[in-house]
Amino acid sequence: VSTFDEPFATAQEIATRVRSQQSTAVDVVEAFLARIAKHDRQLNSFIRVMPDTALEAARRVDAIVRTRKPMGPLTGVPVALKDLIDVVGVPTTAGAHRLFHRSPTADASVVVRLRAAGAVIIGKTGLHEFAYGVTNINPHTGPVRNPWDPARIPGGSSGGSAVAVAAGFAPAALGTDTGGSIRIPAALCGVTGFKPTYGRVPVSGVVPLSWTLDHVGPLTHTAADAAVLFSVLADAPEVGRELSQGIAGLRVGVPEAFFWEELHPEVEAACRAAVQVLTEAGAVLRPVSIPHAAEAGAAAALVLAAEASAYHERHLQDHGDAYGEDVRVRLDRGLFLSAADYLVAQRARAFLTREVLNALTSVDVLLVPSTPAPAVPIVEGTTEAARASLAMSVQYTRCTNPFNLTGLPALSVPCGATRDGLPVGLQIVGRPFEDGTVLRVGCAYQRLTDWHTRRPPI
Amino acid sequence: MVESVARTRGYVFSPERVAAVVPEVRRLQELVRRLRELPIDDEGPAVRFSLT
Repeated sequence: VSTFDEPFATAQEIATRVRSQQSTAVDVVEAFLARIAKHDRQLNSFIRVMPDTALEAARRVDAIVRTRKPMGPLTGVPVALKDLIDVVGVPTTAGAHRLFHRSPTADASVVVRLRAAGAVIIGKTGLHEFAYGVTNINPHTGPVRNPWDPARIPGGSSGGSAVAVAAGFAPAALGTDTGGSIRIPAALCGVTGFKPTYGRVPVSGVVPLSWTLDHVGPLTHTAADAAVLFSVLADAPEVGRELSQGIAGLRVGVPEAFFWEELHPEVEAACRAAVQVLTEAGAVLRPVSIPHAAEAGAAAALVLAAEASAYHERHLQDHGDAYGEDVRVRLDRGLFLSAADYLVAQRARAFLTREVLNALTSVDVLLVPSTPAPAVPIVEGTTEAARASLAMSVQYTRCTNPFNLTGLPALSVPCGATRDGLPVGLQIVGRPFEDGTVLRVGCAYQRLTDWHTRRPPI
Repeated sequence: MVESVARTRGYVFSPERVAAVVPEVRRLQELVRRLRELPIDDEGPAVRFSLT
């Protein structure tokens, strides 16, 4: 058995090594814990590292491996969790003031499934307060920093999970995505992030932000790993079979209006190059149109505002001062929406969902940028940070929140970098419950390119 | 308007909180206005996944 020293190994590689006893799970976990201890002070990606329980779990995994019993697909794989996902015995902070922390008496459903597949929970990662924002500038925990340039945001709200994977602190992490909170930080940090079809992954034991928009999903180095994590989280082992089918003849659509407008030029260039890679590999480009795509953000913002305020209403009244300024403004504003306003948004949602599904009758997947711009610098100062946070939520979710509204599976894969070295992400969007198709396209793209193998300079 | 709605619904907002939230309330009301212009008169609020 060799000592493990491959911080950027994929989850599949680690599971194979542990199952075949080339490495022990304890070696693997110790290696990642050491790397976190050495480098995370500058990035602040973890709220809580769990060395004792992780090593204890790793020892249990090794004991089972030695018995040669069949093991799950994540045997010995360290996984980090966004800190709004419950782990029994460990406070769930939601990146919020201590008044709002909760003490779980049971694991979240996704944690139960991860452990059953052999995964080792290594710690809880930083997030935008209550997952309600995209900057991960957090007044309670400090900002999470982008490993490609620590002066910049990682994107959010699952920024800590994206940084943990990008920096080689864990081969996989879980995030949640209500308006883009997995895909945005995945794009800005150069990792792969997957938001499954709404409802396929259970959300019990996860602090809600917006019940009808919330999704749980993985952040990983590769789409193949994202597929393994998804198969575990959704209890969908059949997904893996589709990944090797390739993309020859697959019909792809590029909805030019709205999604491909007002982009940073280097983001647009990288994403158009990615489309070309796929078409040169045999995918067939078909014209596609979503006439009212520009209104999807409005419907998503209203549904989110109303549902988030409903969840937080009592705490807002009792402890309003305990919220960060940007999140408090977001929650306060939702109190002024009427039931009729909320239902206008839900009726628009039904209309827009049908329009997007119509577009997906002539193509198998849509290709759009994950974010309109790369990571921006962290803004200091309470008022300035709050103002920037409000503006950036509108800007950075514009290409992602339409797919929370419609519930479609959407994957962000690294597809380029700016001249400054900042990562860019391409989003692959499929029909409901065709998560495997989306992941298959991501795998095919990553077999043709090496953007997902670039590593940040830490 | 914001102060009056807040009072009606039993919320207590300081002048500073009202000043902070008013621009966002206005922005959300503009979003509602835009959505009312969509052809949704016969639309129910249920979301179904269907390709037909």
